[in-house]
Amino acid sequence: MIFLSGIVTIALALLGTPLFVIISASALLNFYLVDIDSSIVTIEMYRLANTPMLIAIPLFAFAGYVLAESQAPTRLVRVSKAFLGWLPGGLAVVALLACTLFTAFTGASGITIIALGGLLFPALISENYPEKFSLGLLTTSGSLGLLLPPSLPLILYGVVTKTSIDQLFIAGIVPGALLVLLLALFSVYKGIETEVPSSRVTWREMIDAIKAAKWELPLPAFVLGGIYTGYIAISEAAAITAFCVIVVEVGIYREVKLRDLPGIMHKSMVLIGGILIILGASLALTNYMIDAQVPMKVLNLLKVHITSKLVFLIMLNIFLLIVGCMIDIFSALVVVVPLISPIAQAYGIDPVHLGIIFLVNLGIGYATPPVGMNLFIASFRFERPVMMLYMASLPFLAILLFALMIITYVPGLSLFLVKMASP
Amino acid sequence: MIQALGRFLKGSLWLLNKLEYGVLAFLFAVMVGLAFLQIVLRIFFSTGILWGDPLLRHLLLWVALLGATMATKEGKHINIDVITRVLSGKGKAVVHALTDLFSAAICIFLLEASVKFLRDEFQAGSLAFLTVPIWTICIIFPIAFGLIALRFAASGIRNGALAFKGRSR
Repeated sequence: MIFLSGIVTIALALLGTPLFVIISASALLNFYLVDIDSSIVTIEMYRLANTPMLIAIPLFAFAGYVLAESQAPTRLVRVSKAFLGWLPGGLAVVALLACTLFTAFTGASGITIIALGGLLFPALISENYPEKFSLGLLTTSGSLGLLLPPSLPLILYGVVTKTSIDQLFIAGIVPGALLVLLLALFSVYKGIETEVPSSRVTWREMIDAIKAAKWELPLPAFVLGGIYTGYIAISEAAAITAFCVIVVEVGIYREVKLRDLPGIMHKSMVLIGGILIILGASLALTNYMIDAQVPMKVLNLLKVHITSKLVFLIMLNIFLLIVGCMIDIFSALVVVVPLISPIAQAYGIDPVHLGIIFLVNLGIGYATPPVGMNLFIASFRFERPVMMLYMASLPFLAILLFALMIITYVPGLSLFLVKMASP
Repeated sequence: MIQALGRFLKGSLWLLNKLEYGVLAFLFAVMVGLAFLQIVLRIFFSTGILWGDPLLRHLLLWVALLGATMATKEGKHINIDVITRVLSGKGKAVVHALTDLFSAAICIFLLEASVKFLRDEFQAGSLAFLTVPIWTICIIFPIAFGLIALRFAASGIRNGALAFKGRSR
């Protein structure tokens, strides 16, 4: 009976039933089978209103959508170019950094491709970068910012596992920088190989670019400074960001009209509502699974076949890459993390390190053929066949997978700063 | 008569959409404003509104559930679309009809669960903050799941009709 219903549920999920329905259905059925009243599902969903950090997620998402509607991406690219345009492959490095920063602040890498891709792709082509290289760069660099604060997936992982979000924000810095550095080196190498022109750097342009963005530049500095010094909580940082972004883009630059705001709220909350209702449903299902000791049963089963931590990590990497290309990062976190994290802890993996492994994996999964979501978004945005994007992203994926292995098998990379920060 | 009923239904649907849109925008604006006010109060005046944080968290619940009902209307719920992406025409309609109707059924169960939850909370009478009882805030659960179920059912019937048309041709 349970076996059959499990197969039916998985089949319905693969046919495209919304994930919150699938998860709710499993929770309802399982509670029914053990004779617990279904109101428990609502009780668990109500916990959404008792999780203090959660409010950061809609606020940051909204701020990201407002920024995407304004000319902020153009100014961001201009500033980066003024400072880094002199490098061989300079524009590619600029593209990489701009995408990273934008994803860190908006949290969803698909938005980065839409908001920055349309700007950067023609620019790269006009500076004679090969089309294939440009496509691959923009498709994969959308997921780089996931590790850097105030990334939404990191916050969500902290909420789901009750891990300190502050520690996660510290742990993400070095692995995130490693990913960016490796892709930047590749871009510089490509730049030298294809002999693309690099622009001259002038004081004049540096000052002008900073002047143009003078209202926006203090915000990341202030938010990150506030979070790292512990002066403001993450939910407060989100509120400040949302408020300031409205003041700056609507009040000062006037690139977003006041009457556009309800529409932007609507657009961003359709996304966030879709994520939070999955979180609510999975709170209920997780409660059941912990009660029924599902993670422990899976662990006992695994222990027979997987004895070493290393083999477990390899299996975890493969599993998460598959999950990452099948479902979106937020739902993956909410659904898979509660199951995996007790098992991973039993294998001696630090929960903070596990969070970083999850995000790097899921981020790469986003751009992994044949079904990674960013490939389809990029195909839509750049009007190129998906097949071409498969080929274009391969060299980048190879580099990212290499970095993934380092990050996974060298826990110190994620943890040494955390240890230094908390004596 | 039937035409009048149709007009009435269309009108109420239009009103419902506008209402949802307006309430969401209003609540979200209050959320941003209140959250910011709390920080200003804390940093500059070392104080804060005591019921501000619980109110914010409950606003979040409303915003999340309203966002989810609107995601249903726009077909934007997060799902695995590996298979539906390659389907087209009749096959797609059949699969959509199936998943929509299943979703509608599950949401009716969720509606029932939330009504029971509401009834228990009403009897217990516990407070969320100030003198506001939890059940008055949680009334959004049955409203949201009711709307989501209706929208899935409507979409399921529409897709079913499409699938049926495809077959007769």
